[in-house]
Amino acid sequence: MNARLAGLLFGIAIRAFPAALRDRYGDDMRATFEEAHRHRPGARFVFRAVIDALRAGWAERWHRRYLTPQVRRPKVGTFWQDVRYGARSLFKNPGFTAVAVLTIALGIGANAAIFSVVHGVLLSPLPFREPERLVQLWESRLERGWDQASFSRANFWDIQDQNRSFEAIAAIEYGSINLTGTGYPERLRRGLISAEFFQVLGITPLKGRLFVKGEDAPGAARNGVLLAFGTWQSRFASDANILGRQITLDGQSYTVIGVLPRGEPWLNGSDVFLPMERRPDADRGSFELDVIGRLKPGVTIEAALADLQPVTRRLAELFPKDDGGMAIVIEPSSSWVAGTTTRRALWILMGAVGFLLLIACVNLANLFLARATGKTREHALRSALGASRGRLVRQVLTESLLVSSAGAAFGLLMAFGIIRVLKAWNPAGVPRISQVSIDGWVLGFTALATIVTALLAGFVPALHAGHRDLAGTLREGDRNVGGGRFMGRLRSVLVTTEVAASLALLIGAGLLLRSFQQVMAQERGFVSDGRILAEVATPRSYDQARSDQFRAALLERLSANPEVTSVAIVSRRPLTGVGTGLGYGAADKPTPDSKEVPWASWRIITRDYFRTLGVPLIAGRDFAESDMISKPWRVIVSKSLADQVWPGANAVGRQLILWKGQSNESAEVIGVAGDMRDWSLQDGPSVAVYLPYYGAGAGTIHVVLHTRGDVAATQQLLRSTLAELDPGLPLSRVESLDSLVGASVASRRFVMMLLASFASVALILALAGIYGVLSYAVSRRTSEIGVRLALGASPRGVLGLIVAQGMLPVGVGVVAGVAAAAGLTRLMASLLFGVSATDVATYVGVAALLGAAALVSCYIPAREALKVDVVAALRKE
Amino acid sequence: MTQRPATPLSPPVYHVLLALGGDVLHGYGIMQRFEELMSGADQLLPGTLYATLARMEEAGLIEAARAPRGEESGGPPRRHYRVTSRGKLVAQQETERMRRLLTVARKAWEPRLAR
Repeated sequence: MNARLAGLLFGIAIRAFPAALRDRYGDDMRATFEEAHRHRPGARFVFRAVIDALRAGWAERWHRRYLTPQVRRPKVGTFWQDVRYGARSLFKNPGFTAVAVLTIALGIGANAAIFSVVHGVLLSPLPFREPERLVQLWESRLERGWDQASFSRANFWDIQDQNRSFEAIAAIEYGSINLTGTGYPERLRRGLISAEFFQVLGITPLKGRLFVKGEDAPGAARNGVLLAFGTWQSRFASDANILGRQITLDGQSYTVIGVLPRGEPWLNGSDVFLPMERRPDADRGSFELDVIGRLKPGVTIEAALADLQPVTRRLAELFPKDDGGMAIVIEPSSSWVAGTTTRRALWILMGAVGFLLLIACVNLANLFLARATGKTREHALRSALGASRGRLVRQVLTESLLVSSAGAAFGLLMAFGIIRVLKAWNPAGVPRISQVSIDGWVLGFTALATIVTALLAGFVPALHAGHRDLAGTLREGDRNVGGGRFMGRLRSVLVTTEVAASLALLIGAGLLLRSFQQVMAQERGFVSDGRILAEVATPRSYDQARSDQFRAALLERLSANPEVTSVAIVSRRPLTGVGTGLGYGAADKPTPDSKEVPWASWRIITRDYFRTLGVPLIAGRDFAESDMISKPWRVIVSKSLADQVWPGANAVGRQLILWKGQSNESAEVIGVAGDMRDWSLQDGPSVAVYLPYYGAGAGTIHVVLHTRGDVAATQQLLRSTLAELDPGLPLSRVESLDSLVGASVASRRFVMMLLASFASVALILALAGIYGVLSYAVSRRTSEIGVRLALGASPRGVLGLIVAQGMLPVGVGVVAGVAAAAGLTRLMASLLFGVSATDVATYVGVAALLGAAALVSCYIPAREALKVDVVAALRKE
Repeated sequence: MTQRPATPLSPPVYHVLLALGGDVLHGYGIMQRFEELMSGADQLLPGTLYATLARMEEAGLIEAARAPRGEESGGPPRRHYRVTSRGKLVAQQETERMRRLLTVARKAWEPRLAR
């Protein structure tokens, strides 16, 4: 083989050797090879020598890296050396260290807090046995527009009997009940359950027993009661001898048979649980049961649905009026953990704190970089004295790990605080938040975040420590350090990253803020100012006459009070997001052939309900005491309903069909009231039907007052008035309508406030980062600026130059941030209201805000630069 | 820092010790000498040779030495090596170990081979 080609091949092969070895022996190796090749010119020898060199080279590399003691032994020792050295240099520089640790503490603290919420609320398992087999069942009537409805009692019993895919299914019906005989009367939430409800969940009672099969059978004795953990704790002071105790509920005596364990959901859904009675004449037209089931092992939701299909078909054929078009919807128990919106919101917050940590990392990297460039000479000297590149890199990473560990420790303290605030805030719609705490999972997550932070923040400075022209640095001294093109570009990349991340966060927060404003600015249709609501439960022992008499007396006494402007009674308070509905249609118009019946919410009200809430009565008249409910049917309808049924015509005096498709009652419209968003602020105005309270039976009533008094005074007034009428009646939930409005948007406000605070922290960190980078760069360029000024550049021009150079990476960051936000905010579309995920105004506004703040951050150091003493700068040059 | 040579020695280390003997040789010289000793039955190739020389130098078994007079060829000067006293000791120990091994092997195998 050609000697040159052979030499070339061998030269390539010996590159497999470690550099140190090659430096020392490379020439000899080549010479030896060439000489040997002169004696054995065949290709065979070249081939063998090349293979041998590759093998020996790689073996040497491997051996030196992993086996040779000289390399391995000191590594262990140098770690502590590095830690000691790092700690010393951090202590020597307390200002730098404090800023660095605080930056990381902010990032890690926010992450630990939100992760603990995500873990506690979303990820930790439900407190039930084999939750993956638990499901919730719903009825549906798609042609009536019900995609998920509660069960009617009769349908529940039929499904319970006829299914083959469930081990058991059970139901609960929520209501309320008066507890008397133990101090002041109290209104409790009661769950009426089929006997095996808690067995389906797989619950073991804390004390006593659960209801057993057959206790819901017709005619069975039903005087046992189960207490929820909270009731036992607060109402009965955790009485150890509670079992067997008699308590009076709605005037009837019950024996406590068991206490349930603590937990969410279901277990805390009611204060007391009573068995439901299975009656042969169970109702099929009223949908009030929540139904859960435990699938047989190995049965999927799809299989269960297929199994239930013939059952619902049969029911639809047997009871076409109530069950026509019936189908079943099954949801896995994972849906109990949190609603889609809450889930989405929490993940978005998790992403937001991730961005925050990223910004904190970038800031830390910047701080290290600024310090590292100051340390360039030290590093150069150390490597000249024999420190390996790896050793210097390790030193930087060790310092970054020290800072992030200290930051994590402070961050955990901060997370404790944040979690306490979140729990105290207790936002509506976040289940299981009471169980959130800093546990092993959170600590593990924090440890991971700490390491990632150390690597992210230490990576760039480490690169810098290991990448240098040693001789050049030592020769040039301090003059050129930090001015390197590579480092300048690196700092620009860091600024760009910071700007992009904080802009994306700010845009997210801005969109939520705009949504919140939109919700609050909705035309509500009612006035909340000075309006107070209270709940009074009239017991079942009141017959219809007594109920009427009680309500009339209550209204009369309250309106006689000089503080009260107006007062009324309604069957259901506004803004609960749930309600009752009925199908309706015009009696004087032929029903369209399509099966879809429009749906309206209904409330029972007394005279002056609209006046009390400040809602205009557009046409017709208000109810009077002579308008007895259903004798004959007379209704007031909302404007939206009137417009829909009789567009452009006067609705008053016309006949409206109520419960269309069910009992088909014909009612005379006597009035038209203004529209209200009384379902929730973010839903459209309710299409509503109002019925008169006169002639209605006992039940829970909600008193609405327009008063000059505050909540406490009104509560006092109501208590004394009730005491005069019937001392046994409990009063509950005295709240201002303003606070109800607040509560109805609490979870929205919660997410918005959290995201906004994270975004603000991110903005501050990013601005500090921009300021730091630029002032550092400027301070390194004083002589250049001095030269420019000496050569006749105008100060204005120099200022513009510096600001422009500082703003360039900001501009790139803004573009990247807008692009990132456009992609990411799409994920939060379900949280937005009245504003699109790509709302131009928000994007432009936030980008302008950030740009202006960044400009200030650039301007301050740039202005400092102009104070340069030209002569001094030139002398230095 | 000197390093205890691993015993038994790896074949290339022992081969280099054998080839050097009491002489001062450069890399190609070692290659040549070894081939001669083995009558061409085995060969050291440059890659393995220099990897081995490097380790032996680190371990203090051989050391660089001035080239013997008159052996300088043209071309760049090359490193020459000779065995240190430590190297001699290790070579003797290894030879002794192999001798004992051979005795044991003979006892174990030869009667049966003779049969």
